[in-house]
Amino acid sequence: MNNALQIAVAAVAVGGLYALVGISFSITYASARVINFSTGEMFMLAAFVALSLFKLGVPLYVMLPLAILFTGLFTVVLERLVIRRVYGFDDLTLLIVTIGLSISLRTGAQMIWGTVPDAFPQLFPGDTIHMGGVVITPTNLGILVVAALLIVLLHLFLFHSPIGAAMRAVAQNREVASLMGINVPLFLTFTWGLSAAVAGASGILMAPVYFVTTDMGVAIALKGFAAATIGGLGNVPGAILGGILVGLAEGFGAATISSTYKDAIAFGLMILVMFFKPHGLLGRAIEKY
Amino acid sequence: MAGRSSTAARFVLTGAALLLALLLPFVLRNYYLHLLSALGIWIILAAGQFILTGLVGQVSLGQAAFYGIGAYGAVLLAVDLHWPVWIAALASIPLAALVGAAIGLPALRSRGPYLSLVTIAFGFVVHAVLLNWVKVTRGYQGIVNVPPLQLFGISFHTSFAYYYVVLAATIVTVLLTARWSESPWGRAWLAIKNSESAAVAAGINVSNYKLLAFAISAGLAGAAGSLYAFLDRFISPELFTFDTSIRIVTAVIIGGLGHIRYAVLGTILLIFTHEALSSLPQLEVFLYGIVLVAVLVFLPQGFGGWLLTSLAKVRQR
Repeated sequence: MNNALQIAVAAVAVGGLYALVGISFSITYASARVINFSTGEMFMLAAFVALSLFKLGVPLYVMLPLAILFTGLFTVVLERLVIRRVYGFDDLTLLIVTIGLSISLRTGAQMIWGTVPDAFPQLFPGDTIHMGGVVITPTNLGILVVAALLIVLLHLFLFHSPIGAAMRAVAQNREVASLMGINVPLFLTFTWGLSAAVAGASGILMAPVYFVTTDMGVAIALKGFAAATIGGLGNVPGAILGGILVGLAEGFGAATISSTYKDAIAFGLMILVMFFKPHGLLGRAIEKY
Repeated sequence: MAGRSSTAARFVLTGAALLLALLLPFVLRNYYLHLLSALGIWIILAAGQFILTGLVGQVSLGQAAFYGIGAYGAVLLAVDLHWPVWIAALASIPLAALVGAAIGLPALRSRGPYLSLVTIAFGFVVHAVLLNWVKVTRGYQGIVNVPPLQLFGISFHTSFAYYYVVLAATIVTVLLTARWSESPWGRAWLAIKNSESAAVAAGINVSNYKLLAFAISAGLAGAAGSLYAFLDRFISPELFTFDTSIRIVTAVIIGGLGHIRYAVLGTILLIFTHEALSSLPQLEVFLYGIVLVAVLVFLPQGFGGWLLTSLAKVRQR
């Protein structure tokens, strides 16, 4: 029993990260109808920028927001220069454009930072916490708390702020939103920046757990994307549910079946969900946030 | 008149190309023969993608899975179950086609991006199985010492002999694909691509035609896998990754989704650029991503479509 609880705690922490990446996917999908395959590279970019700043001696509380801000702005530029040109193209084109960007960004990062994994400073130092027979590492607890906090903030922003309302209007119907006086292109750009910032924040949260490598975004992006799909693309609560489900399936799958199949479990779960609920667990034929 | 002379010109050109293809092995070194055989295999992969994406408008980003099923199926049947090699090589084609039809099933219900997600997920699951089901697949080490292909008592173990096997398979595939595009199947597929509801209204059984396309597409990828296994006579899971699937789509997209000819052109461009930059792998991958994006943004019809429209403009002058 304690063992199962132990697995569940770690799984939920990882699931929280998957949920964040899944939300990042969902935001761009809901507004721009683009499945952004370069999400994983935004995740990686933030971690590298943060690490580079750290090595320059920039204090932690400055470097973290700076790295996230940089990742957001970088994506804003990318949206203005490239992605904007293919809005309204077919699904395949949109998907392949972001895959192309992801390939070039990853190899570009390899040319800058090399391929040797680098250690990231601990964000949550301290002793492990014992609670009713369950051991929680400060890192897991920190990830869980920060991820939950970010999710709540995002929820408040999207559903209880005027900017969020405008974003949701753009997601629902661009023409009507435009008639209501919303600057649609501007909001689309902003959406990409926000999505990248969310991915970047989760990249920085994840960085101390694993080493920082240019490939670090690949696996996590796929998990986040599985999470978003399982929950229903473009649906923020769906991404949270999907993330936690993927985390739990992986955790218990690794414990009961085999840890080598850990990565396949998320996708097996996804195919299974697609068979029975083609639009995800919480998704509808017409998506909204 | 113009029509007849262009038909004659096309006939002469095709004959010359065929003759060239038949005579090349007598002048080229083994290294280049091997490269050309690999090109043929990639053209077959591209044809499979073209049928599904170009003709039916279904997005598959998991072709590498069927490629891998074809390769592993053929090798395991021949090596572990001791089937005659040529039967094993052929048997893995319907095997891949069956799996392809099964993966097409959720496609009947889900549309657009969800379908591509299922195919991506399936690609990862197959790769994980190839990598981790060590008892059967030998894991990451792959399978070495694959026997050469044998047919009518002839062993195709040299690059020279095998080149002709691949050449024949490639020509048959391209001709069949071109024929299917023009056949009643091809018209039904095109109707589905243009408007699914209009296709239903016209009495087309959309589900069956989609499943057929999935099966053929996967079967061609399986055939390519089978051909590959007996070319290099070594297979490993790393040949059948998500990146491989992306390269297959890229070949078709760079060439253009409009015609199988464009897909062939795209594959030739992709394979030779890859070869030319093979000493600079990082730069190659970097450029490959950028070119992919640039083609989609600036030449949405692909190089093939772009060539065709430019030629038409020149003729008008």
